[in-house]
Amino acid sequence: MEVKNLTKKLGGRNVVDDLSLTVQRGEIYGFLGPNGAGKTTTIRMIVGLITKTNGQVLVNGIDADKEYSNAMTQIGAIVENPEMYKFLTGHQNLIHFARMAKEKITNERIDEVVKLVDLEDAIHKKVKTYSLGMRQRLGVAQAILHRPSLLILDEPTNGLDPQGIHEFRAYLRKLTKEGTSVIVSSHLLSEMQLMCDRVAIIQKGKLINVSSVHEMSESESEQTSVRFIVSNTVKAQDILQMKDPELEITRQSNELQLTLKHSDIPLINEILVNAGIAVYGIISKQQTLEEKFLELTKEGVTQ
Amino acid sequence: MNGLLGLIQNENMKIYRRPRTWIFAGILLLLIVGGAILGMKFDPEYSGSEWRGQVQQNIDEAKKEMKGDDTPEDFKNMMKQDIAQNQYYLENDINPYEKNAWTFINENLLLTTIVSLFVVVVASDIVASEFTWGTIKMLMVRPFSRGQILFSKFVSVLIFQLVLYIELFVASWLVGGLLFGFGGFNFVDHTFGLEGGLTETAVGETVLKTLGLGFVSLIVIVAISFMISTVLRSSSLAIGIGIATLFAGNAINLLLAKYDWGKFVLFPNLELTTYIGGGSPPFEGMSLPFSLTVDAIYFVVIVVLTWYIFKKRDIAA
Repeated sequence: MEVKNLTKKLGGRNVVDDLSLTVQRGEIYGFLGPNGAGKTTTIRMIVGLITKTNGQVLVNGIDADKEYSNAMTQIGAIVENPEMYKFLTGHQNLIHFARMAKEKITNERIDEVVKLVDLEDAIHKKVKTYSLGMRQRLGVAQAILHRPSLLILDEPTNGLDPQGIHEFRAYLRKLTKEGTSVIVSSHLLSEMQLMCDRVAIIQKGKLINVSSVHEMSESESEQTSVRFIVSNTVKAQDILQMKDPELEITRQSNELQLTLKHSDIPLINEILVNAGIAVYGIISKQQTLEEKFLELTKEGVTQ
Repeated sequence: MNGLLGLIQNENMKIYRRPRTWIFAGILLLLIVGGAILGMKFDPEYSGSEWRGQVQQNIDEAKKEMKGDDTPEDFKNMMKQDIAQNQYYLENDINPYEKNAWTFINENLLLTTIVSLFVVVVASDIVASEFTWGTIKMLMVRPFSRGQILFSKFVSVLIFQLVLYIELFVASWLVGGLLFGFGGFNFVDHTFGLEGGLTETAVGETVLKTLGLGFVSLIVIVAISFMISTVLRSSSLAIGIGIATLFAGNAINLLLAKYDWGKFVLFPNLELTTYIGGGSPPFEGMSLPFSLTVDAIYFVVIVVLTWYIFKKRDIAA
C-alpha cells in the first residue's frame, strides 16, 4: 500500500500534513505518536471515513478515490474500538459483515476465522455478554473474514490484558506469514517494539522518522550505560581504568557509571570480582525506544 | 454475488433481531384483539329484527332531546340529521349495526396512526443508532458506497412499514371474520353529509383506499425522519420531529389556511384520506393528483438532500 502526500486540513490547521509512506507485503507497519498526532485521522482517510484535503491512497496499485469499491475489497479495518451489534450474537455479527464482502464468504470460512481468534465457545452468545478482549477478537475476526491483503488496526490492544496482547501479536504474525500487510497504530512504544517490523513516528501530523525496529535496537546496544554498585569505588575505578584507559567512568559515592557495550558487562564483572571487589549490583540502563522516541519528537517540535 | 440484497438482508436482521420491533408488532395485535373484545361488550351487533327496535329507539330518544326549549340550534340540527339517517335505514331495510370482517377493518383504520408512530421510530433510529453504537465506521469501511448503504436502510424501513400495514390488515380481517363472519367487502357504507347529502361506498373500497393513501403519505413522513436521523445523527431528535410531523399536520394546516400558497406546503398535501368519499380539501384547487405530485416533489428533494449530506459527511464519531 502506498500513501502519497496525504493532507487533512481542519479549522485552518493541517491535522495531517503531507504524509507519504509505503507498506510492503507481509510487513507489520506501526504508526507511533502521542495522542492527537494524527494517527487516527490518517487511518480514517485511508479507509475513506473522512475526506482528504489532498493526497492519494493506492492499495495494490488501486486508487481508492477512483475505485473505492475495489480498493476496499483489499482492506480489513478496525478503527478505534471494534464496536459490534450488541443485541446480535458474535456469529450473527460475522454473518452481517460477511454479507458486506464482494466475494461470497462461506460458512466454513466463518468457522475457520472464529477458530483462529479462539471464540468458538462464545460465538453464539450475544455480544453484550462479551468481555472487552472477546470483542476485540471478534473485531479482528470481522476484519480478516474476506482475506484482505491489508489489515488496518487502530489502537488494537486498547483494553486487552497482557495475555490477550500476547495472543494478538501471535495472530498478526500468523497473518503476515500468509502475505497480509498490517498497519497498526499505537501511542505505546513498548507494544510497537514487540509487534512491528517498521515504525513510523508521527508528530503533529507529520511523519518525522521511519525505521525498522531491528535498527532501533541495534543502535541501542552501542550506547548502554551501566551502573556497578561495588564495595570500594576508588579501587574499582583504578583497576578498570588500568585495564582500559579509554573507558568512560564516572565515580559516585557507592557506584561506578560506565558506558560500554552490553556484551562487555560480564567481562567487567569478572575483572572486579577477581580483584577482590564485592559487586552488589549491576544496573544496565539501555537507551530505550522511548528515549529515541522522545529525542525524535523533540526534534520534531523544534523543526 | 453479494450485493445490495445482502445489505437489505442485514438491515432487516438488525430490525427484527431487536426486541423493540416485536413489542411494536405485539402492541398492534393487542389493540386489534382488545378493540374487538371491547366492541363486543359496548357496541353489540343487533341481528334479525332486533336492530329495527334499536333504530326506532334511537329516533325516539333524538326526538325527546329536541323538545327542550333551551336546546341550542346546532344541536337540534344534528338531531334532525340523526333522525333522517335512522329513518332512511328503516325505510330501506338497512341494518346499520351489521358487522363483518370489512367493517371491522374499517373501524381499525384509526390504528394506522399507531403504525405510523412505530414506523417513524424505526426510521428515525436506523441511521442515528449506528452513530450511537459506533458501528457506523464498521459499516462504512466496506466495498459499498454510502448511497448504497442509505438505500438499503430506506428500503428496509419501507419493508417494515409494509409488514405493519399487512399485520393491521390481516389481523383485523381475521379477528373481524372470526367474530362477525368473513365477506362483506361490498357492504355499503352510508355517509350522510351535514347538508343532508348521502354517499354510498363499498366498505372494502374505503378500507383499501384509506390504507393505500395512508401508506403513501407515511412514506414521505418516513423520508423526513430518515433525513433527520442521517443529518443530525440523533435518534431522539429524529423521533421527536418525525412524530411532530405526524401530529402537527392539522395545526399547521389551520395556521396556513389564510394563505394562498399554503397548498404548496407539504403538510396539507399529506392529508390524502380527505379525498376519499368526496371530502373537501383544506385549500381550493387541491385534488388527489395535485397532492400526490406535491408529495412526490418533496420526497425527491428530501431524499437527494439526505444522500448528498451523508455522502459528504466526515465520520469522526
